[in-house]
Amino acid sequence: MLVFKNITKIYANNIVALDNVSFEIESGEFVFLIGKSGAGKSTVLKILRREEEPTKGQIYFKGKNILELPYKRLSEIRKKIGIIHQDFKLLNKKTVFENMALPLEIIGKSYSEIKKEVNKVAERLKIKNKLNQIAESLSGGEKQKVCLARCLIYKPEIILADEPTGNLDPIASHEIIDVLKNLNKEGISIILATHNKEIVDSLKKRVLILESGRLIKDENPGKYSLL
Amino acid sequence: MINKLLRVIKHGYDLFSREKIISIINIGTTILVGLFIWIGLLSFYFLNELIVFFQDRLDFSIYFKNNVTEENITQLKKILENFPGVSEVEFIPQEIAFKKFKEESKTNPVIYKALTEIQANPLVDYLIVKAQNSETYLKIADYIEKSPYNAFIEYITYSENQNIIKKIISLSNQVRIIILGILIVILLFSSLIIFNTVLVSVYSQKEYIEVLRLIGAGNWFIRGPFLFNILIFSFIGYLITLSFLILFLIRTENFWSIIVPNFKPSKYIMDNFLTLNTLILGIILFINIFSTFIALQKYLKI
Repeated sequence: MLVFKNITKIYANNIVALDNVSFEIESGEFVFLIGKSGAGKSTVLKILRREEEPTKGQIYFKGKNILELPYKRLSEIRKKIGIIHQDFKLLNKKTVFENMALPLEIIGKSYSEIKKEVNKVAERLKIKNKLNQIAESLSGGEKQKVCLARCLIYKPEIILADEPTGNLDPIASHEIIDVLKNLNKEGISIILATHNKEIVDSLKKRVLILESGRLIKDENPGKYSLL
Repeated sequence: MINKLLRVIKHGYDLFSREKIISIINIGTTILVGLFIWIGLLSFYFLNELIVFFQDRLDFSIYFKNNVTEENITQLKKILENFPGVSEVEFIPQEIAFKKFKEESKTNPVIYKALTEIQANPLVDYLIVKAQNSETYLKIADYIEKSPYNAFIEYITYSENQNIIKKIISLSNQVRIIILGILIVILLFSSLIIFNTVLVSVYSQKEYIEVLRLIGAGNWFIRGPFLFNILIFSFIGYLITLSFLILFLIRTENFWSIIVPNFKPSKYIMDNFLTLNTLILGIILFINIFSTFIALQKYLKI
């Protein structure tokens, strides 16, 4: 479903963030992307949503090269490939409902449709009782759930998680990983960038290891792996 | 589409109502820039009226020789009336001139006595010319000098006022250039103030823009709330400026009429209300919108 082919990313001053990285993700796969800080995990995720442009290489999503998409149509890809971050990226002064409603407001849904959809997703992630709370007042785990909920509103096919447990305590971390596991069971592909070895070991899923911008290992690569 | 537009308006209103300090700064900047532009514009109008006031005080009269017929004078009057830039030409026959002079001299017993004792009318027929600007007087004088009518003319007061006229022409041209320069500086200065304020207000919403981008919002959905926010604070700010300005001008009306009698700023504003306000508000909105586009561009490339 997703092919990351020979991607190289070189920043100014010749800093190589990714060096000829290739991998393939199948529909419904759960993949860990691990490596030390600065290994290139976040760069991979940013390039996957075209928040950054690679210097070289191609990315195919369902057979289409997303690097050829014009800027105006990038939102289509960003709706199908959702993302959650370590620092949540919520609108802290807005309520949970308003945060979750945002993606639907963008596509021009009516208030009744928004309310229905938000309630549905909130119930799925067990945050319905938090809908009227200001995002700022939530705990880290709750904030991350709201981020996931906002992501799910678009019914994404892939969720990219950039260190989603980085700011959370162990209990909240496990809760988030459980939610991601359940979403994966429902058929959503998950790419989780982390350096939390405990989480990686506990799940026994495919692991991509990055080191200084190079993919050095693809454990349990599956039949479509390019390595 | 309507839903999308309503959401953009809602987000624009949220930006305005939730970011109170930024909104107050934006309104303050609009008031300041509005006042700057108004002061520039009214100064231009004031100096223009001041020049007109001085021009009106100028005497451009053509005095005829005694033997010139009324027909010849009327012919020249018609020519001058059609002369470009001439607003009025008045013919004063010698009898009327004498009567007028006698009337004016009532306060001076010596002259009045002399005038009543005199048998003949010592005054001559003359024309009073009023032009829209001082340059016209120069052109008329030049025309008369080269025309056959020059033979009928005893003298023109222009010769006496020539230096004053030339000084006024030079002064009015210089003043216009200076005021125009000041207006341009005001506009540049205003643009800089607005641009910096917009830059700060967009920067303060960096997270909001990032989140919108993150969830796949298009460029117009991101720009839209900022543009609506501009409409709100620009209208509020401008309304405050205008109310303050009109109130100030009404309160000081008598003061202005003492300095220059024909300078009536509140009347000038009321007579050109729609044009002036559309122009000034348009300038403020344009600078704001242009600045927002530039400030946002950096974030829209994500």
